[in-house]
Amino acid sequence: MESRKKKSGLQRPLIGAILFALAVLPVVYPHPFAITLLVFIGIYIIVCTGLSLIFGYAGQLSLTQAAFYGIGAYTSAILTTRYGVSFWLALAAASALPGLIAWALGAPILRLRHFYLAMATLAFSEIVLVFFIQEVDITGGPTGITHVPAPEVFGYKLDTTTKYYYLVWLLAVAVVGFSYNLIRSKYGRALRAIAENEVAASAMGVNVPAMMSIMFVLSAVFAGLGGSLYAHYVSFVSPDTFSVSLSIMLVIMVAIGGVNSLWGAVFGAVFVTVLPSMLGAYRQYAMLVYGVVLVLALMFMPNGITGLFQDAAHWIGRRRAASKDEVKEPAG
Amino acid sequence: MNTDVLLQFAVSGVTVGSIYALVALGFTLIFNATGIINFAQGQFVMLGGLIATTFANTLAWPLPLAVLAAIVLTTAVGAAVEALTIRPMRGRSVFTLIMITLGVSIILETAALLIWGTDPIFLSSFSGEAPIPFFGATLQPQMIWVLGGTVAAMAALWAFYRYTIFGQAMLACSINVDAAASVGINRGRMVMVAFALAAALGGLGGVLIAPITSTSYGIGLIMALKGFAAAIIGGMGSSLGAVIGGLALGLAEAFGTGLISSGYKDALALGLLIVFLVLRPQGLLGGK
Repeated sequence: MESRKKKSGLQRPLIGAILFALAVLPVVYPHPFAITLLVFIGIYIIVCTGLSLIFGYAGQLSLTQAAFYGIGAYTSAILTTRYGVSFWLALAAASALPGLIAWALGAPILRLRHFYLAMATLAFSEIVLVFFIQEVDITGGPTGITHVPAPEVFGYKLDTTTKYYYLVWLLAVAVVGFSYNLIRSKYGRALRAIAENEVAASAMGVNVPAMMSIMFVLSAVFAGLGGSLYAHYVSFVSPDTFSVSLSIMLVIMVAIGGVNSLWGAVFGAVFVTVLPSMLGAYRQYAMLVYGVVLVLALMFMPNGITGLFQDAAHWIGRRRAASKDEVKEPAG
Repeated sequence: MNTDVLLQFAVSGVTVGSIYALVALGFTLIFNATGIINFAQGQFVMLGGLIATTFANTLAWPLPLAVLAAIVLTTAVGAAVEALTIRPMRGRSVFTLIMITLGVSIILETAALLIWGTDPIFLSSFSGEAPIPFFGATLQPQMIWVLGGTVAAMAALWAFYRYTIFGQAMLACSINVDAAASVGINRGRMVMVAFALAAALGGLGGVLIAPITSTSYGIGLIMALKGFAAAIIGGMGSSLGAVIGGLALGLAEAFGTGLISSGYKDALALGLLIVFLVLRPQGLLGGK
């Protein structure tokens, strides 16, 4: 109990500092490339946070996040380019539709576990991708949809990267904040119980299917939200963006970051977005690096990057406790 | 639609289905030895085909030698995957092991992309291209190689289980791991043999199909999905089920492609996978 208090005492100023840095960064350091990267990091944080709810907290491997991300992007693109729907309405629809699909899909497939759920969600992703490519009348086929307009907020056009940056990060912070409160609520405790031992959780009165369904729907809603933001930022959507390898990459983001913490999603999103630009000419090696890092991380640091920080915190805590004990010992 | 066309669908369905059966057998081998599903299974198909093209096309080795080399090397990769990533992880959660095989799958795919590039590569047919009339349909000679190769592999696998001490030990492991260990069976070694054999089967599938469909770095994941679908349709864990599932899936795909839509070929197979997982997870052969 005491350690938790301490942790949150340390966390609050840290979060405040991060939020402050995010708010002033475009003014202090208006480097277009850095801001662009941060826009993508923000979008990936939204999508990864959704994934970490079902994957990290409920312990179920869903390889369909990219499909929901794609459905969100396409919904937004189609509504705004063909039907002249406003940005906010499109954003809402782009979040709602994946959620609805997840709800319908979840009822049968969330009964599956482990490999079976992973394979079923992977299969669903491939089917969605085939739909994007084949249904030319709806999705524009292999070439996709272009000229997705920049969003307009109360008559104010978000047509620069910096303006868009604030929109994305506002939503990213809202999503992370919402999820943070969610996992600290009874829902979060129920999720952890499911991840630890499903039968025991169920015996303690956790409605496992309902919990899983809620988390799956939420993860899809966040993915759709991220997809819509993506579509309006890059102004076009095409099927190859939403391939299964993106789903795998998103899972890697969360796994590398650490599945047991929301921070994992954040670290993962940063790592996977920044790495390709750091590799420069060796960009094509990025996926290889992800694969190697994933395998090594699983073998040698099962709690991910976040786990390393936690271990460090524990180590410092132990050192402190040890030095206290040393002082105490002669007296006792 | 006349019977000749239907026969042609059946012929191509059985050909593709044979490859799915080989991949499904690989899944079965590893599943029975370890209880895990190896996501990298499809990458062995990709590796087998591409390594063969390097030996046959680039190095101009005689085809039989190139094919043999490809299967041997793929087998070695399978054994190495087990030794480097699976063996050190004994006792870790199923969840971790899934992620590990997923990571291995990505590593193999990206490595292949860097070595062989993105273009599809053909391997020349094992015995010419002259089509063989078969009742109303026509067979490519390579199709006979696919069928023959698959049947030979299945016979060899059966003999392995039936007549070799390794095969018997592996069978024992799949029935009861603890009992097998108590009579002195080295489970760790069995897992390695399972990975090597699964890779060999995948590699064989890869070289057999490369002359018909061509091959490229990216086929592994979809092959894994199809092979997994075949294993599920037949009933996971059963070798006979893997073969029946593979053929059933190949036929369903061929007829679906011919009669409904070619663009939805993959969606049909994967939809079938989801339906089976949800409604009949024990497969066609499994009891309740």
